[in-house]
Amino acid sequence: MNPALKLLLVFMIAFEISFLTNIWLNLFLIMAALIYLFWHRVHFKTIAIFSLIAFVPAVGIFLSQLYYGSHGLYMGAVLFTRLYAYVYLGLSFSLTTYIVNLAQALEQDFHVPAKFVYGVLAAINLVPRLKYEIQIIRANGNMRGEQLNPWKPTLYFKALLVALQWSGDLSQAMQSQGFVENRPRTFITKVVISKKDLIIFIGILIIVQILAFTI
Amino acid sequence: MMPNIGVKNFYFKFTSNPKPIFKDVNVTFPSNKLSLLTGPSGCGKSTILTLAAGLSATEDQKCEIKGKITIGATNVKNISDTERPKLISMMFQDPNQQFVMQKVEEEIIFALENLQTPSSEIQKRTDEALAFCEIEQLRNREIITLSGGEKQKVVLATLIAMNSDIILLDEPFASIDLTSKRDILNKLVQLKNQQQKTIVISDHDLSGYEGLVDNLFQVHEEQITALPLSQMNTLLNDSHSPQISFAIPRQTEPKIISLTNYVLKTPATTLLKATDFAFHNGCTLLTGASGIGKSSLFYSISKLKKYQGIITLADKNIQKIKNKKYYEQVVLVFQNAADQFLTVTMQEELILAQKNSLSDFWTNAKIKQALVDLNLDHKMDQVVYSLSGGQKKKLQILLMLIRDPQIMLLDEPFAGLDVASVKQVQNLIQTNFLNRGRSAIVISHQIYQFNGFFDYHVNFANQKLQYKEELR
Amino acid sequence: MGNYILLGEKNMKKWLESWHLKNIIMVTLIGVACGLVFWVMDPIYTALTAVLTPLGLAPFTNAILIGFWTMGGPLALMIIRIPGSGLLAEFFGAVVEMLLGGIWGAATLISGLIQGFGSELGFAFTGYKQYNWFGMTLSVITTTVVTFGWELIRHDYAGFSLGMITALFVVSLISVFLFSGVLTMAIAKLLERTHLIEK
Ligand SMILES: Nc1ncnc2c1ncn2[C@@H]1O[C@H](COP(=O)(O)OP(=O)(O)OP(=O)(O)O)[C@@H](O)[C@H]1O
Ligand SMILES: Nc1ncnc2c1ncn2[C@@H]1O[C@H](COP(=O)(O)OP(=O)(O)OP(=O)(O)O)[C@@H](O)[C@H]1O
Ligand SMILES: [Mg+2]
Ligand SMILES: [Mg+2]
Repeated sequence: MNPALKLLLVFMIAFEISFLTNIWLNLFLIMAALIYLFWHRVHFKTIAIFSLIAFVPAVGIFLSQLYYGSHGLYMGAVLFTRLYAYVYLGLSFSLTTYIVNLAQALEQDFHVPAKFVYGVLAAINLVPRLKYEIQIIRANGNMRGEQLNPWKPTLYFKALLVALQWSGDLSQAMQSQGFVENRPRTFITKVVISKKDLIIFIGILIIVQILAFTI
Repeated sequence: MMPNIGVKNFYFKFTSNPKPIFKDVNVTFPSNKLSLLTGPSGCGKSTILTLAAGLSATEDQKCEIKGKITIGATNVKNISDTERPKLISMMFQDPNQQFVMQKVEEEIIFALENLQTPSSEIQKRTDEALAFCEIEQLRNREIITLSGGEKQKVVLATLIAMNSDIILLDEPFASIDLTSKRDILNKLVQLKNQQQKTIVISDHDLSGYEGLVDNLFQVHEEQITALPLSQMNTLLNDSHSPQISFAIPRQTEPKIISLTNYVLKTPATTLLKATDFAFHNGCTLLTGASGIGKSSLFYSISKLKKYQGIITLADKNIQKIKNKKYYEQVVLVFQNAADQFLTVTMQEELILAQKNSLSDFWTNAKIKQALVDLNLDHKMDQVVYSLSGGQKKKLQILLMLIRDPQIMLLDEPFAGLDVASVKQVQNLIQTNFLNRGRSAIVISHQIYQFNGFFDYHVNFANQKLQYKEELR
Repeated sequence: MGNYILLGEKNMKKWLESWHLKNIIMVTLIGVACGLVFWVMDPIYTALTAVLTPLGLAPFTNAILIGFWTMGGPLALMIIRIPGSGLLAEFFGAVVEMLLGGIWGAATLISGLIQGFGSELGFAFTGYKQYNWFGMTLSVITTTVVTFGWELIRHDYAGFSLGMITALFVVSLISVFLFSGVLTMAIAKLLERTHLIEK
């Protein structure tokens, strides 16, 4: 499916279930997303790990409803399943989509300006290094005898100075690769929204509506 | 006729700096030649190259410019964004900060799409560029898994696919080994000969260029001068310091840091293996080719990089020592000075350092004297990030000295300092640190040494650390 | 951003043009960096969850820490000062988190948009003219109201007693004020003093 359309679909469904209190719909979405993930040969282990990470917060909101909510058990179950629906919906996008294809689809089919698409894409490459840099900044704090905590400004200040430096360098590098803001580009791979994509998109939305308002 | 780069009556100053970087420069980088631009760190190599490449980041910073830089007959300023990449493109020092896409081939395609290359031609030009750099086997690799040298080859392939007349390379070899450097240089020579390109490389390290460059330019006292090639060899020899001899530590000498069954790797290669190696009390010089893994070794000793095996500090596994405690004993003085600062002005930095000092050694009077010695005393209210490279370096070292740990790891502390400043800094470290029974390990390319500053010398080569009596 | 859209297509175009590559990368990194700093303090988060969850007070974990999650927006606005930078920082930050495999997936995106919108609103009320304590205070209030409203729906706080809802709201407000307000302001001040950021 067209990656951008898939993202839109996931986004819309996730948004909608935030307002609904329908356990069956949540369970249906969980099942559907899991089937989709297995169909795409995502490893069971990967899914299991994500499921485990989500378990604590899921229990957290379940218990709070159970203890303090007005429809304790029922509402707790809705929120518990809703949370897992979010997780698997998200995974069925992020584990089956290649970032670059999403970028191409956003640029070509949704006409998002190229500077936003490739600016964000380029920033993604810096994220692992930024993470490492934050560790270094912290260690440097220790070496200089200052504990840098997240509730003090220094850690952010230093991280942002680094980010500032990098964003200048990176945009320069992109410019020297011939990237000019607001100038059209050619594409080697054409990404389209096919009829089939549209039918699936609308089809799924209709099924979700039917489930949402009949059961 | 391919265009050259002309610099005419050129004056350049960052408004925030007291002194201009260039004054009345007149120089031409000839077409269809491979030129090398050298000069100490901070002299303005990057500045002049980015200006020639017409990259806007230098323009939007506040600066004063007089005179002009021309590409062929045209002032760089008058070249449109669309035309520029066909004329001139640039490779940067840090190969990690120039990629947009995830995979090698995609990066080249991205550049060609930017140039509005017809889609039918893109694949062909990509293949040719990969073939030229002999990296077809990397085509589908994820860029983050490549070594520094491989990354630079990918950038080079991108520039080749773009087919600009002039290619600028700003310290492209800073993070790669000599073999890869020669490899890429040979490609550039081939490119110049076969496709009549004009190439300018900036580098402060002159090794590896023998027989490959046509012209040599030096930045010196706000000027750029063309030097006869014969002088290059003299310069090369100059950078070879006089013979110095070192002691070999005796086994009985107290050990400060030991490596046992230690292995250090990058995702791509093994950098170092040490079954049983120790650094001893005193001041140790650590040398080795660029990109061999010296900084990585320091990072692992500083618990900032994973390694296999055991590192011990005074017989204790460093992983068993709490970070806070550990960094009171061992301190890393970063290669990039600004990384070490935590506040905004010099005054604030000094107050913080004194507050957190581990001893009472650094009295106000001592600090004042050190500032005078380092020629920093009139800069108290200046924002540290706006100090010159050398001033940042001197301040950084002073701050770490005031902290007063047992062991300092210094990564290239003398880079970018002139000989007089090196002397001041070494004196300071000697009298206030080493002479008080503390230890240092120092990575350095430039080995100015005054009054037996170093006790030992360890060479890092072929994945091994070895004590050496001599320095070649 | 709001008033820009209201003023029609021409202004929208002008707004798009005011964004340059460097700012786009920067705004994304601001969004991401705040999340990453949070990742550094993971143990705190885990400890807090471990204590509050068995008591059924998990929503308070959220309320105590909400100010950290919403820092990106006001920080970007203070630094970049283009209407919409708050929204974009939070949104792009969320996009990156999702693409790099964060567990909350689509929910992250929605929260990003909501939080960004919340922090934007306060500065929008000043016509994007007051990047100071006044704008910031308004932003703290709008951020809390908007994000709390969203939590109310998403985690169905509506079923809780009035006392509990009030407590949650007050804790959220304090958290947003301290971290997205006071802390953010301090960071922006430090950055300003370095003169490294062009306005
Ligand atoms: N934006 C800026 N504002 C003020 N000063 C600057 C700025 N950028 C660079 N400088 C200063 O200008 C001088 C020249 O910098 P440049 O980066 O061109 O040197 P370089 O020769 O490339 O050095 P290196 O070998 O370290 O890369 C340095 O002293 C640097 O501190
Ligand atoms: N995270 C990483 N991933 C891949 N390669 C890495 C990583 N970190 C370092 N390297 C590579 O390891 C090698 C050693 O790097 P290091 O910076 O330690 O060298 P160095 O000896 O300090 O060089 P220089 O003298 O230029 O500072 C380089 O080739 C570098 O590209
Ligand atoms: Mg440079
Ligand atoms: Mg190094």
